Amino acid sequence: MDKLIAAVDHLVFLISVCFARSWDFTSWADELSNLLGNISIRFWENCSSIRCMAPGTWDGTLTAEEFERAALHLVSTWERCCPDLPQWTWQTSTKTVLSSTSDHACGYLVLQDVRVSSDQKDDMEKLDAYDDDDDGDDVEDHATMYVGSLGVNEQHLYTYHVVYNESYRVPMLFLQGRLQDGRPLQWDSVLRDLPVGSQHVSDQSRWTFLTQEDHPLLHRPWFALHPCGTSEIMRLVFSDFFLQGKKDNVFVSEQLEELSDISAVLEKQDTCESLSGREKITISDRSVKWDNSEERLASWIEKYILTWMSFACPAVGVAIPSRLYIESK
Amino acid sequence: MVRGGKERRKKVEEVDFGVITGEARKQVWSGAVPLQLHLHPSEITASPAPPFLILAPRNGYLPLLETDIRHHFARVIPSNSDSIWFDYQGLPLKWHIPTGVLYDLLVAEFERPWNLTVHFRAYPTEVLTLCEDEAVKWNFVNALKEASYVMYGNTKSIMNMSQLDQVELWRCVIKGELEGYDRIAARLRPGFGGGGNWVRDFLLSSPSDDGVSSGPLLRAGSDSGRPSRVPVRVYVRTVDCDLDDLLDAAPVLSWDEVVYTTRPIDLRGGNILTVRDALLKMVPHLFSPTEAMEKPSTVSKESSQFERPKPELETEGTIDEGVVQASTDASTKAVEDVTSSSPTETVGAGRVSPVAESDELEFEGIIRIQGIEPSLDLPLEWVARNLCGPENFIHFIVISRRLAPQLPSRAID
Repeated sequence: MDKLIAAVDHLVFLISVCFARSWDFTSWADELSNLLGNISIRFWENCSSIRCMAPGTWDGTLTAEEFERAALHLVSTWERCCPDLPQWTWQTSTKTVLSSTSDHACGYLVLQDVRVSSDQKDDMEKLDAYDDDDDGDDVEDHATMYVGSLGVNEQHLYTYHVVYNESYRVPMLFLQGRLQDGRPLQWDSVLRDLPVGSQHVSDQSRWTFLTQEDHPLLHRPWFALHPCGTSEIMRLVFSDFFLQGKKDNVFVSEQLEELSDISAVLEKQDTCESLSGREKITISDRSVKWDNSEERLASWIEKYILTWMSFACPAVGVAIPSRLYIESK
Repeated sequence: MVRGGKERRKKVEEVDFGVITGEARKQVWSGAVPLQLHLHPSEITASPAPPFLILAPRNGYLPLLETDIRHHFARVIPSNSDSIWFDYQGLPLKWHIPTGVLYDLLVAEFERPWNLTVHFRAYPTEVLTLCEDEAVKWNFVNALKEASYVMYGNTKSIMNMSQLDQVELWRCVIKGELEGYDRIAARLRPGFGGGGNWVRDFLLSSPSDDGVSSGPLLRAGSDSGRPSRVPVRVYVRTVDCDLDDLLDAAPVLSWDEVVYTTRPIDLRGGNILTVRDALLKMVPHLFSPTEAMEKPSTVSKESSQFERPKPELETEGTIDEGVVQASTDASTKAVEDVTSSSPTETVGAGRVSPVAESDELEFEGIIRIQGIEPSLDLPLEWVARNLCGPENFIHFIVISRRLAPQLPSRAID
């Protein structure tokens, strides 16, 4: 069990690294790509020996219709398992000319005004309130900074949206932060509110991990996790799910053993330490035998967003309670 | 071009595309918008500076002009200047949208030079994303990755580009060097060595050629090098005046008035072959049956509008002449193909019937791509190859007339 938990931790880290893959090629990314390639090869080697069980070549993407189904499944599961937490809701898009066709996503998930304690001193936001040319405010300016230096904890309010990305055909996480008085948080403040590991990754891969871009439905600047690695990650996770179904009651799959091998390589990374304190994700030790791959895929698709959130949300500091996964089995 | 009859349309021969391709892409890459930049009055700290005139590349981005702008206004720019930003008639311009797209979208009728206001302070962070360091370059790279994923189902070719190729590619985009760009871009297309007609290859291939690609679970494409989707961004603007007289169109005061989104076009199934088919997919509410038109003069007016580009646009440069000629050639060739017997005739015939249905619908709007209003019968594959930007997206600008409340039967939804 401990070995498995460690493997899952490294799976989370691996996914964060995949998310943050930089355009600039580095040696560890090269090694990681090779390992990923080996995993795929070994998966297909195993798969070919399983008669009538191969699920085809699912590429880790969702259709817009499946996105909505998975999103509504998340809303109901979250409501049932976590009534004490802020709730995800499904927001229907206001009808526009471009959303009138049926094969495009008609809504998105919203998690509104989550409080995040911040030990930052919001000097930059406060300074924006003063015109640099106005000398009369100098005294007040100093007073403000003095108050900030007392170490009073600020409460930042974050709103999260999960929107379907038409190009990558995967969910995409958007976030926006603001102070309690309503003024928006700037890039530096949002970055400092991230978990330490994500700050590290974001510093290294500023343009490919967390970027500021127009919200596709609201057309305002929001921060977003880049979606280009999501389908590959979900394909790998599904592969593991498939292997679980094969070995009835056998908990540790070959895929996770491969991940253990990866963890040996990745232990050299500093970021591992920052992830060790993260809440453990418990995986049920019971697996259900499936009659056919189509049924299995349909069940998997329904839990797509739930699974995707297990690594996408912690990357930006949103905790996903483990009981969601126990009860959703 | 004969209109009304159900003409069978065939794909243009590959060799002809070879000729048209070279000419059209050169015109697109050298396209420019004449700008006249005025410094905002609040920025002036000395005597007024004369406006700055510059030709901005259509497929470039406004912030890339910053060096020249600062040089011109150096004497009067306040010392505490911040990030540069632009507005057109009060509307802050989104820098991540190519300059030519902004012009085609926001200038309803002829305006040359395009008058913009430059600011160096009070950046509108509520509306515009930050633009610092190399944000423009990375916006381009991320768009390139997105287009690669749409076409091939992965971004490997972009991710694995060498450092040398990265720098060279971006330099070619900035300088508008098509040949250098093509040399590097050729290495970004998996299995695309011959520069062949990728849509025709896709449509004509039998399922047994690539069992994996034909699998029902593979949605985003494959490594086989045959794009299954076309990267498209569509921008829809509605105006209150008659489409025949856009001089009266009110300026866009807020980005909430424009609907823009990424809308990839799926080519599998073979039922989207022309610009018309793509528009029918994206903005079906702008099509109405021909029989429903009550005024014959309206039909003839719109018909003539499609057949002839507006005279004002012709003076924009040689783009119109070259591309319109290419469009005419394509249409002419399509007509000739009907009478010739070719190996693809049978396949073409099989695909005509689904397309014929859209012939009975009239498009009530204006479509602009790279500053021209193309024929709706232009093959989408040709547009994707020749009229896309360097990031491989086709930018469709659609201008439609706002429907009056007096006509409830034609109301949307």
